[in-house]
Amino acid sequence: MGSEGVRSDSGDLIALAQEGDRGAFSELVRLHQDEVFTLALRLVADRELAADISQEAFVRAWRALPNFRGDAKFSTWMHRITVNVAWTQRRKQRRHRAEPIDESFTEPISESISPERAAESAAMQDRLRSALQQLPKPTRTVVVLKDVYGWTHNEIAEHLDITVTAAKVRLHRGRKQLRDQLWSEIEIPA
Amino acid sequence: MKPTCRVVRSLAPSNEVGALATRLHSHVNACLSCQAEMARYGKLRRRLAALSDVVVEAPEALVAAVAEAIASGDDVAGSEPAVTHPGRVAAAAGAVVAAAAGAVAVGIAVWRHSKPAVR
Repeated sequence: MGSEGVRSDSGDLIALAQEGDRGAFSELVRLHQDEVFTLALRLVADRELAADISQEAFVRAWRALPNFRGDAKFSTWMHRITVNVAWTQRRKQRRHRAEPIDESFTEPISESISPERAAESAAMQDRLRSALQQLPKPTRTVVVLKDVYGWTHNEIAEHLDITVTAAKVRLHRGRKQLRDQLWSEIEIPA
Repeated sequence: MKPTCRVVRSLAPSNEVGALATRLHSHVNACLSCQAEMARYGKLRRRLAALSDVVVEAPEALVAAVAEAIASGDDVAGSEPAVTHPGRVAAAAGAVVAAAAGAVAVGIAVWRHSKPAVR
């Protein structure tokens, strides 16, 4: 994240941005852009679309900033907005075309592990990414929000405008499908 | 496969071992195959959770694009800035041209209709 020299005190930045300080808001964008983009990318599996979603999420955040009271962390709030934008996008997209698959999207790996471990980790993450992409988008969204980001079923249901039961069913199906696809990856040695 | 194993397998994607009903829990404690199945799902969940530590770098132009979109709106937070998607801008321009063409056509029709007949 290119955040050198960027103020890390989001509280002050939020207060300034709420007063209309665009520079402060730009710093907030700089601080949170990577995590917002990563979430968008995991939800839609398309870099261009993820960039559009990230942009729109920040613009909506700017619009809604006066209503942000700090009950949740700014990053959590941004995640919710991003999910809402991505979900709205999904509905629009469903009407127009098939879901794109971005083959160039690969999960980056940590630089602090050995080259062998890094290669193994990269290969595993690549298969996991590929398996996630093969899930139908509504299923993938629930799996990503629950298992990657730790949302509760209630939060998922509320933000996707589905029932808690539907969220649970999608998670169940998604995990089963991932388990079947990643059988060799997750096999437990006897 | 025993019927109880089938039940465990059908519930495994949504349940932790401890969350299974007592009868199933006792079965899992005694059945290596079901333990392995529960462990597979545990491993899968851990691998998915580990993705939350991995961050993908956003495109360099994102900060500038957001600033531009906000600048095209009003000055203060809470305003309604325009989002600068090139596709949408082109569509909006097309709509303006179409509306202008329609207005000209209507104007010509009205003018012709109201023009006194030449005798």
